[in-house]
Amino acid sequence: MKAYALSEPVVVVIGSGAGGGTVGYDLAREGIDVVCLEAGPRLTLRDVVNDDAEMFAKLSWLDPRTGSGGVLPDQFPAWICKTVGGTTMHWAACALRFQEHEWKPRSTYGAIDGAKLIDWPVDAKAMQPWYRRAEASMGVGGRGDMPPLPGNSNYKVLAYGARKLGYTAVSTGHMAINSRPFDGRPGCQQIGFCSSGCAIGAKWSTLYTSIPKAEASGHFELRDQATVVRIEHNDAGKVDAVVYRDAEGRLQRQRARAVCLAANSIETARLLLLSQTARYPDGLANSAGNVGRHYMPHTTGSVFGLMPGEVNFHRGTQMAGLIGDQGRHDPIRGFAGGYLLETLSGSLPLMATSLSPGGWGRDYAKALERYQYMAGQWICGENLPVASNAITLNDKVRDAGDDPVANVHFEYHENDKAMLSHAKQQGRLIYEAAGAKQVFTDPAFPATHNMGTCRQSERPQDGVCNGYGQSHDIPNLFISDGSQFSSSAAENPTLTIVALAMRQAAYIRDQLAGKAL
Amino acid sequence: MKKRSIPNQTRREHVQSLIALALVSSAPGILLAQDGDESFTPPQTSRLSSAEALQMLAVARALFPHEILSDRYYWIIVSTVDDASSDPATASLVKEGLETLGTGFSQLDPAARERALAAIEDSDFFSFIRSKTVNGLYYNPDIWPLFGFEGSSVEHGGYLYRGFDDIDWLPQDLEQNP
Repeated sequence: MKAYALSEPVVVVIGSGAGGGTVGYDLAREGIDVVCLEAGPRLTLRDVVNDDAEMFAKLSWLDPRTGSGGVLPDQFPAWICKTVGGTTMHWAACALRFQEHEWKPRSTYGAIDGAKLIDWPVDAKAMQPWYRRAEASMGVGGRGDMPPLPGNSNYKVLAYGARKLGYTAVSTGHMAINSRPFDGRPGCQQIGFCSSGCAIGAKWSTLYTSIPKAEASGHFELRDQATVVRIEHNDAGKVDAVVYRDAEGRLQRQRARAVCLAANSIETARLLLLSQTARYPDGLANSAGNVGRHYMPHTTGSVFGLMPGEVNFHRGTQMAGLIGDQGRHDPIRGFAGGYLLETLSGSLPLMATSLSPGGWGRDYAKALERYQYMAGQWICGENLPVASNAITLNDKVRDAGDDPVANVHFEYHENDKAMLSHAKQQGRLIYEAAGAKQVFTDPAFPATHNMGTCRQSERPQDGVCNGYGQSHDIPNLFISDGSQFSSSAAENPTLTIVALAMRQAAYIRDQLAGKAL
Repeated sequence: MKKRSIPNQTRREHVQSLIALALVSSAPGILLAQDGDESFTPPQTSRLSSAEALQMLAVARALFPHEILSDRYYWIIVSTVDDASSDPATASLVKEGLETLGTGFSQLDPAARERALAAIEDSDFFSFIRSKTVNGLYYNPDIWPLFGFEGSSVEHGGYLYRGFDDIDWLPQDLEQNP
């Protein structure tokens, strides 16, 4: 396997998830030398077991972080991963394209008080070939020749109730989970536990796709348990090295000809802020003051119904169920943008803590005894970019390297609140239409979708990077994860992260070939 | 339905539960249920007196009362609370909490127990014991079959051929999907 000297100026990719794993692989297959630094350890499929608590400990980012704003938990605002493969280990694998209008939220929704809406510098037409390529590489059901996944019983309840209400965009969605063997990985066996890692690798994750393929190219080295602490620049203001703490706790300094930052929106913004110097006193790529701002975790919540018959929703794929009708922009509902309803299931212990958070007593115990009768769905809606929803450095709390941790501040915009209450009501009606005896609607979990903290913008003053994720301030510094989202759209973000990373890799290749970097 | 009024705290609890259990579930020392209740002997407690232990048992059951569960599963929680009481601050939190509930708690009927607990719902003691109970009870794989949760499925080949879509009670008045 390829190994690079610290003194060798390579493209350094920070993070090995949907963004980093993809941009790293696409660069390496073009013959460009890449070192990928991943803070977490490298697991194998043998490490993946059907146990939520064990996998939570193995996969999650558990280093300290703080939250504020009252929506996300203040000790654990986001539930994302620290492992090779990043959050593609935890994701439920909904691989959905943005709708055409969602690339132009400012033009479509108009000005909204309190929100900093901008249109993306890219649009649906520019993204279409990259979406196709991302889908073909990941193996997405209902795209190309990959059949959609079959629906489980939880899906059938959702679909029945939705159709009863007149919804028509009802399907098992577009899942990056093999419905038949593909790319050396088996078809889905309806195991459940998707979000605790897929034990057979039927669900796409960079851990066992892009990463080993990149290594096989001979132009890629993965260093796991390598925690990046600073990105450095030269006198010309371009980035030229990445400093990280290795598995033994020693600081190392890898020279870089370019840096692709894909540490998930919270750590990506934090690293840029931590890397401040005399030349860049507010952090890298932050001349406009937008690094960390416009944080968007989606407008989310969940709805659980106690149905008249057994559902056994723990059986089968967790999120292969989608109602798209409310995804449209239709201001008559009282809010801009749209939301999706997706199936969701949980183990008994998970339901005991989340069916009604904080619940106890005889009625609650009785509801939990109806575990086999539960149906569940998750709300995923666009949430608006607000400047004060931001990642900042919390000087009062330090990590193992004595650096300030990230504080995640998030409050709902009025638009988000209106959408959420509409969505919860629709979720309730769906289960009631299918005969639910009782319906529970829950607040947001810790955020798993994290977007917007280094957003793309046509004008440098509106964001951090251009339509290729290239920072406005530093031409060889790229944002390669969901941080670059100009808006959140209603769709789960991973497919768009992958498509943008592929497009970015092609751009970097051309820029390097033309000596522009 | 009892519901606490501090949503941020309760949402956090879910994740803290996972963290706590991830650490605890692989540790030895958890009191495992044995076969047959007649062979079950309540564990000895070292910090709680036997009266306090019995009171704690009643509290745990009142928080999540399941007739399908025998006392052995609730005794596990008593043991956990007893272990946690090696920390002096926790010990006094527990002792004071139990004192507030009063020695008569165990004799109350179910509705009165629930009222007594509701009266202290905002206390640290309540948060502590509720969290210990919800974790100690529902993360115990031994109770899962009683609730119909089947646990790990990968070793059985998942549910592809074992009923992932076998729902049979939905009305047939709409055309079903794939």
